Amino acid sequence: MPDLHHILFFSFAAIILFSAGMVAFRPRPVESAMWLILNFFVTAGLYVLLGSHFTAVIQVLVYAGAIMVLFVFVILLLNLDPRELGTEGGASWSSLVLFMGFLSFVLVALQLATPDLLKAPAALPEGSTFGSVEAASRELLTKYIWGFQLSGIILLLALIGVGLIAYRKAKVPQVKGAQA
Amino acid sequence: MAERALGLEQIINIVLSASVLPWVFFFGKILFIFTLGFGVIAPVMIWVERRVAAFIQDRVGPNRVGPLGLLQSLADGIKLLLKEDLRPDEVRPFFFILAPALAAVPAAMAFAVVPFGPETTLGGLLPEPARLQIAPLNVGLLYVLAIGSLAVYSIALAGWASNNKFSVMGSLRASAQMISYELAMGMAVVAVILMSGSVDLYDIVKAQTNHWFIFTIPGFIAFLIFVPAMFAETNRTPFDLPEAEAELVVGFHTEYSGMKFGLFFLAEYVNMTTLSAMCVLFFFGGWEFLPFGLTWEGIGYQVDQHWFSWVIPFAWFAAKVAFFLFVFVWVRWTLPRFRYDQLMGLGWKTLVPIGIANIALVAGLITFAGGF
Amino acid sequence: MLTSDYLGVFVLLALGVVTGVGALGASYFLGARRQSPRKTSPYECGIPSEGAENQRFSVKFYLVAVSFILFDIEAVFLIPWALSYQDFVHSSHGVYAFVMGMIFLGVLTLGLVYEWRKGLLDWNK
Repeated sequence: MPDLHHILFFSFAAIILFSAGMVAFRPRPVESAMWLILNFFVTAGLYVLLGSHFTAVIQVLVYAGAIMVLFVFVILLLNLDPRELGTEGGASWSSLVLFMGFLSFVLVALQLATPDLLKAPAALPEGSTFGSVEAASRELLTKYIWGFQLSGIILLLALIGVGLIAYRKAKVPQVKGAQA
Repeated sequence: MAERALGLEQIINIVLSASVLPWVFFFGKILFIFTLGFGVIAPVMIWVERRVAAFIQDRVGPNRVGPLGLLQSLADGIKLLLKEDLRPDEVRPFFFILAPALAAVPAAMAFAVVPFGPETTLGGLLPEPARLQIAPLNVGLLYVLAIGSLAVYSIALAGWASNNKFSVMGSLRASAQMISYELAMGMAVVAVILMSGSVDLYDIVKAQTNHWFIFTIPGFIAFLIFVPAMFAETNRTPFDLPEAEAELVVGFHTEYSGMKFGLFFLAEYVNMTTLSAMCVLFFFGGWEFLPFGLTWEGIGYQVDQHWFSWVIPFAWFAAKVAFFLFVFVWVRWTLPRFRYDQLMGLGWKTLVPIGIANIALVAGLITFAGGF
Repeated sequence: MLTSDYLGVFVLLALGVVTGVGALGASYFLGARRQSPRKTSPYECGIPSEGAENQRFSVKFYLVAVSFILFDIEAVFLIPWALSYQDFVHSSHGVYAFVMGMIFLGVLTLGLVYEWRKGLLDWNK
């Protein structure tokens, strides 16, 4: 008998797959961005179901709240005219259906071949602290401390990269009409 | 009449029965908070804003509709509803309508973790102490930050969908400003987490039993970072550059009128309320009575004696929040607007470095001085 | 913490959607509708709209967004450190937690100093 946990999991999974498809198939970048935000948001819901509350919040905070802001910014900044986007446009609905159909086929095939692979993991026991903020942070600061430090250095390198690209000596004359 | 009284009694018995009571409590909390936020605080704040503005500028302000003009917001709301649903030619229709609707969603969702009183059993009605918080998440603080970071989309989308040069410029400015100050706010919040050792809003209040964080040196510095960030996040004066009337008409909502504008307006006041509540929870001991151990228990008030005993701490909390809401209004009609480069400079070159230094200060104090 | 704690989040999400859609829907049905070409033209203080709307904007906005992402992720990494800091101090590993935090914070500061020197933080440059 499907319990609430399963119903939620399958509805979240369906929304994630559907929105991921929409990201790929919608013609306008803004629409894709909006679907991607929905996708990230529901993925956070999936993390909650897994009992990983910290990851869920970080998912929204970093992906939906920070990385997607950059995407939306680029779209706003370029502010492309529909004509400039060209006629390439998005794929048609039939390819979306095909995509979904293919995905379902893979899932069914997997289920038939190895039933264990897709079995839902047992729910966390009552009172378990697995995935809680406290547990996650303790692990991060003991077992994964050098990963923690390394991430800081990687981010620093990314920042330097931004600086280098943005303030490279321009070889082409500046575009006129750019303004703050 | 006798039958009727019996009916009422039966209803009360059903409501108080063990299986139904938690649900009554749950939906009661939602109803209470949601009505309070969207139905009471926002309209009253709009009235307060106009009355205080009038007072500061030596005018009278709205005083015709209802006593002292209190029903002015209601009248305005009805007017906005009956306004023409105007849709300019150049807009991108779907997103033009989506943007204001999207403004209301994070505003409402942020309320889920705002606690409004101490843990209570409602005078013994509930089997164990329950939180006066709609969703008792122990990642409450992070949840507020996460939901707050979504507010930028409705503004970005509004500008883009309006397809008007003032709107696009306004929304770009708004987005850049909101993310810059989100960072500053994050730095202030990390200091609060260091001091309280928790991201649970109840634990943060509990950690302030003996000293509100505002009365500690790092807490005070964090507060000084948090307040400007709070103003910038809600696009309020002196950081209302996205709306700078003199240069951008009204920025991202230039093309919006009627109820579509009304929703942006409503969301602004609701977000102000949420952030004021956060400020009180982080630095002013939440609903606790006074600092230095003078909590409600400390002065002998039982917050769990009757089913309504939580009302007093709640009212005290509400009073503190109201003070910050008043500060929002006070500042708006007192300070001039920043220039955009000053705004970004303040965020990135002043608040963020101070925030980083403050984090180091708290950590050092805890390790080497044994406290802060 | 249980998954059911999130029920309130769902209900408020629904209430937010209802508020948004309800208010817009009500004004759609209640509002008058007398549109004219003049009324629905893009607003530009009364004069006919000039120039293209889709002009390009300063790359500064983009740089702010990129720097924000990077610093935001660093701030997010600081949260678990800050959260368990007092636990480390109480189990007398305070110096370890302090040093590790300061290394991370130092790298973050280096990034900020780099941006500052490079002029990424000067809006007018």
